[in-house]
Amino acid sequence: MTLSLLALLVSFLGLILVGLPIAWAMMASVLVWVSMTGNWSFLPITSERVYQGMDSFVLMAVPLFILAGEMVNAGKITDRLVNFANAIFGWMRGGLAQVNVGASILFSGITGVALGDIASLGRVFIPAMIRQGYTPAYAAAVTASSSIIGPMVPPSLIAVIYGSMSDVSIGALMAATLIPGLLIGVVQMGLVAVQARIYDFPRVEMDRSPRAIGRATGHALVPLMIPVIILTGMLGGIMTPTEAGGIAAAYALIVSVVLYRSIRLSALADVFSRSALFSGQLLIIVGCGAAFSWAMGMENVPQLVGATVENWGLGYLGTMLVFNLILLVLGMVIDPTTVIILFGPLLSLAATRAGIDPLHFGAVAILNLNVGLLTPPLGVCLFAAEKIAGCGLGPLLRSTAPFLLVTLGMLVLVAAFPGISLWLPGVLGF
Amino acid sequence: MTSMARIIIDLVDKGLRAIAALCLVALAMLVVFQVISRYGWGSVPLFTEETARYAMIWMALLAAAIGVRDAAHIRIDFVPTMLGAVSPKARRILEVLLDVISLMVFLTLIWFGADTMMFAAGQTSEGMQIPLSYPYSILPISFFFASVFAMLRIIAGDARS
Amino acid sequence: SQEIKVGLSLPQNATGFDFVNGMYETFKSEVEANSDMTVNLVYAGALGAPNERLNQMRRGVIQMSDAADGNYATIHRDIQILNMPYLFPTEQTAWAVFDGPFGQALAEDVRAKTGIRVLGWWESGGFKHFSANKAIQATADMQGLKMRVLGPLATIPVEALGASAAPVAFGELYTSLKTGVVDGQDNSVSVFNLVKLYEVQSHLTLTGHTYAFGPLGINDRFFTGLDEAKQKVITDAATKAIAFNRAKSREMEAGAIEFAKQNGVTVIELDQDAKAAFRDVMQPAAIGWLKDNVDTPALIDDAIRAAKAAE
Ligand code: NA
Ligand code: NA
Repeated sequence: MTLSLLALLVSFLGLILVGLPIAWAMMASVLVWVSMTGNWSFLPITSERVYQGMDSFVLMAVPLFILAGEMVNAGKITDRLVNFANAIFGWMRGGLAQVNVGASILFSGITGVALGDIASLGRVFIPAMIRQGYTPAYAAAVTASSSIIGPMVPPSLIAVIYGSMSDVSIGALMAATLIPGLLIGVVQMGLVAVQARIYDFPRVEMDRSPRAIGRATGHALVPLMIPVIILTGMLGGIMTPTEAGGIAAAYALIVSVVLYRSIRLSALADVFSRSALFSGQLLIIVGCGAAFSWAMGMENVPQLVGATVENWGLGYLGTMLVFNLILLVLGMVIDPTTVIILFGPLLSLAATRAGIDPLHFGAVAILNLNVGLLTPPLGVCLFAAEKIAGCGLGPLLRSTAPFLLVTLGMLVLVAAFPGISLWLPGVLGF
Repeated sequence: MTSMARIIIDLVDKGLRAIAALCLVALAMLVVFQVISRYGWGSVPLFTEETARYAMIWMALLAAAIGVRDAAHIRIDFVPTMLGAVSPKARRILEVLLDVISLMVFLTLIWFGADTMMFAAGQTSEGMQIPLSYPYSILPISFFFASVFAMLRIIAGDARS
Repeated sequence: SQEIKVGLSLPQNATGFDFVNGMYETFKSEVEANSDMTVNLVYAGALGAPNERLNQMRRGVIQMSDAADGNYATIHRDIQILNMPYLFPTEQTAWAVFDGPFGQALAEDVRAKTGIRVLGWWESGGFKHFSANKAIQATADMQGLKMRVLGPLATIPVEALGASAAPVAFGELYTSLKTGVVDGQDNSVSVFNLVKLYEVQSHLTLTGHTYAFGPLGINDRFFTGLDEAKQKVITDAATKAIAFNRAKSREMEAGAIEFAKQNGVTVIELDQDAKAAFRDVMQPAAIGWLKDNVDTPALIDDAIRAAKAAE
C-alpha cells in the first residue's frame, strides 16, 4: 500500500467518524490524496467525477422511487396499511408485535429505505405497543428489526445504486433480495410467536367480521398496487426500472390527489421539494463516491484486492465468509449506501473471480449491510427507533439481540445456499 | 446580520428549493412521457432520456447545496452528540471546524467545476446536440451556493436544524 | 522512466474480448520488453466511464484508454462519418481506408483538435448486426420492431426502416429483450455473446450495417515529450497491437457466430441484393443527419470515395 492510498483511507475514516457529512468526507480525503501524490492535474478530474458519477439513466429510479413513497405517505396511506396488517396478523398472540412486523412487510413495497419504515410505522406502533403493555425497549426492538425488510423488497434504493454501479440488472437484484427479505419477515414473526408464548403477549381486539376485514383489505389494495406496478412493469416486459419508478410516482400522484383527494395541491409542492432534497442527499454520495473510487482506481486497488483474494485461494465458501465478515464490519460503522458505492463493485469483481455468482453476491451484500443497521456502534435504525421510544440504548440492544440473531441466521442461509436468492430471478428469466 | 441580508438569503433559499423541485417534476414527466411515447407512437424523441438525466443532476446538486443550509447531509453524528453531552462549547467548536473543512471542499469544487465546465465547451451532447458546458455549469453554480451557506453557518451559526 | 497508465473498460480475462484487452496486453509487453517504460493497465472501468477516461487522457492524467468510436465522436464529430451504415463492404476495406491517406489525415486532425495522437485504428468486434426474435430477411421485416439502439446515427437509419428505437442502458439490455421491452438490438457478435443475448434472441441476421472501431489514442504531449527512440518503441508496439487486434477480432467473430448457433440462434446471411436494400434505406438517412451534424460535411463524400477505391 502506498502512503497516498493510506492517507486517502485514513483521512476518510477519520473525517466521517468525527461527523463530517459522508459526501464531503469523500471529497476532502480525495483532496488529501491528491496533495500526497503531488499531482495537481488530478484536481479537475475529481470535480468531473462528481458530475459524471450521477450521470446515469438507471440511477434516475432513485428520485422516482423516493417520490412515489413520499407521495403515498403524504396521502396518509399508513393508516390503511396498519388496519390491513391488523386484519391479517392481529388475531395471533402477541398481535400488535406481529402486526408491527407484518406492516413492515407490506410497507416494504412502498418504501425504499429502512428509515422510511421507522419514520412512518414506528410513530404508529411504538406508542400503541407501549399502551398495550409491551416494554418501550421491546416495541423499539421490533420496529427497528422489522424495518430492514424495507430495502430488501422492491422498490429498493440500494439495489438501484448497486445495479447502476455494477453490470448486474436492477430488476434481477430486486428479485434476488425479495425472497430473503420476506423470509426475514417470517423468521421475525416466528420469534415474536415464541416470545408471545413465553411472555404472554396480548391479542389485538378488533372487529373481525368478514365485512370489516374486506373493507380493510379494499382500503389497502390501492397503495399496495405500487410494488405490484413496479414488479410487473419491470418483469413483465413493459418498462425498465427507471420507467417503473416514473409510472409508480404518477400512479401515487393520481391516487393521492385525484382519487383520495388526500393531498392538497399546495402540499404537493412540499412533497416534490422534500423528495428532491432527500434524493439529492443520496445522489451526492454517489457522485462524490465516484471521485473516491477513481482515486482508488488510480492506486490500483481493484487489482490489488483481486490478486489478494486469488492468493488466499479460499475457494467459494471461504471467500463468501471473509467477504461477509468484511461487509459486516464495514456495515457496522458506515451506512450501507456508502459501503456499496465504495466497495460493492470492487468486492463483486473479486467474488466473481472466486466463482461466486455476481447476482448472488449482490443479494448477500445488500442483506448483510442491512443487518448493520441493527448493530452498535452505529445502527441508525436502532437510534431512530430509540428516539421514538425513549427507552435507552442498553435495554434496546438487549431486546434487539434475539432479532439480530435470527436475522444473522437468515444471512448465513442466504450466503450458503445460492438457491434462496437465485431461484426467483431464474424463474422470472433474468 | 441585517434584515436586508436575511431577506435576500431566504429568497435565494426558497428559489433553490423551487428549482430543485421543478427539476424533479421535469424528470418524472420526461420518464413517464418516454413510456407513453414508446407505446403511443412507437418512438422516443432523442432528447428525453438526456434531458431527464440533466434534470436529475441539477436537482441532486442543488439539493446538495440546500442540504448544507439545512444541515441535512447524511453523516455519523455519534461523536458530535457525545461531545455535546459533555461540553456544548466543544461541540460548537467541532461543528465550526467541520464546516470549515466542508467550505474548503466546496471552494475546490467551484474552481475545478468551472474548469471542467470550460473543458466541456467543445463537446456536444448526443441527444440535444448542445455544448456539454451548459449542463456542467451546475457544478460551480451549486457549490457557490453551498459555500455561501457554509460561510453563513460559520459566521452566524446559521443552521436550520 | 515513464509510466503509461491505460484505463480499460473490461475486467481482466474477459472471455471473448481478447481483441481489446489482448491488444493492450500486447502493447504492454512490447513496450516493456523494448524500453524501461512501464505500462500500467487499469481494468474494469475503475477509472470511470469511457467518455471520462477520454477526458483524463486529453488532460494527460492518464496516457491511454480504450475509448472507442462513439466516445471520440463527443470530442471530434467528424469521426462519426465512419460509422455511416454500409460505408465498408468488408473489414479489410475498412482497414485499408483507416491505414491509407484518409485515415492518416483524420488521425492528424484528431491530434490537432483534441490533443490525442491516434497511433492506429483498431477493430471493436467488427460489424454490427441486427438480432430479433424473428427472421429479418429483408427491410420489410424491420417494420414495427422495437429496436434498442443508442444515439442519433443509429436511431435515424433504424427509424427509416420503419422500426422504432428505444435507448436502453447496456446493463438492462438482456432483461429488456427477455421481457420484451424491446424486440431487437444491434451489436457486434462478440457483444451479443458477452451478455448472453443468444438466450433471449432467436435470430441473428448478419446485416453488417455499421463498422465498430476505435482509435488507439495516446496523449500527444506525453508522446512528443519522449525521445525519438521511445517514440519508435511506442509506434512499433502500437502496430503490433493493432495487428493482434484485427486478427483476434476476425478469429473471435467467427468463433462467436459458431457459439451463437450452438446456443440455438438461427444465423441468417444476407446476399448482396438484400444488403443493398438495407443500404439504400439506411445510408441516405444517416447522410442526411451527418450533413447537419459534423464539422466537415465534405468528408462524407471523401469517405465514400476512399471506401470505393479500397474495395
Ligand atoms: Na422496498
Ligand atoms: Na415494523
